[in-house]
Amino acid sequence: MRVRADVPFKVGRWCAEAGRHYEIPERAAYVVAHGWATELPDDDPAPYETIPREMLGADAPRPAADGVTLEVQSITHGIAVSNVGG
Amino acid sequence: MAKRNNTEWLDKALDVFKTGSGTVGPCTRQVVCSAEPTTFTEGNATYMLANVTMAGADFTIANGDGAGNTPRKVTMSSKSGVSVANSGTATHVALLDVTNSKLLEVTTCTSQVLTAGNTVTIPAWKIELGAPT
Repeated sequence: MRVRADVPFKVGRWCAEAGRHYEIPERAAYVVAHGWATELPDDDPAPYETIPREMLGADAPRPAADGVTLEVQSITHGIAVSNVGG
Repeated sequence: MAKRNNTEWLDKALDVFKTGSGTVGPCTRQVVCSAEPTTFTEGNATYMLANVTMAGADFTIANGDGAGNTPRKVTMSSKSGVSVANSGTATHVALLDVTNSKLLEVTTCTSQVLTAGNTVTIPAWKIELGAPT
């Protein structure tokens, strides 16, 4: 189903941004019913992003009051100490 | 036989982010970028999608999570509701020393489209100095 996100919300690993258009394979009716998104016709001409099913997971959608959340990769710096004479 | 170091000098390095040392640090700004910044200007302007002020209290130095003798880490606290200044796809997060115009550290994030006018949350993340090998 094609939708326009009206507020930020999250489904699994996917974060929807307000104002953007998406094609989502499932749970579209849920987010529309909760007032987080507006259903659009399948032939809506505006640019949209297709969300893969594997990003949605099994959890119910939830609001994202603080907007989308990044997945940031932490850093580990190794400390290499040579052997004596190396 | 294991290798070992004194954690005090590791903490001195990590404290650059929190307190600063000489002409480097502290980190006063965290930015979300659309590409890997390699200079302060790229992080602060060219690729910047969102930015948030950082203060000493945003950095916590503690024992690291890795094995061995004895890793140390600095954890940057989560920042929520950060305004997105420029639209684009976030791919990197960086720490800046604005006073000295220095790019301190750059990491990656999973690609996320951001739209100007919306907000973004930067979760807590860490920089660890691993145990010597």
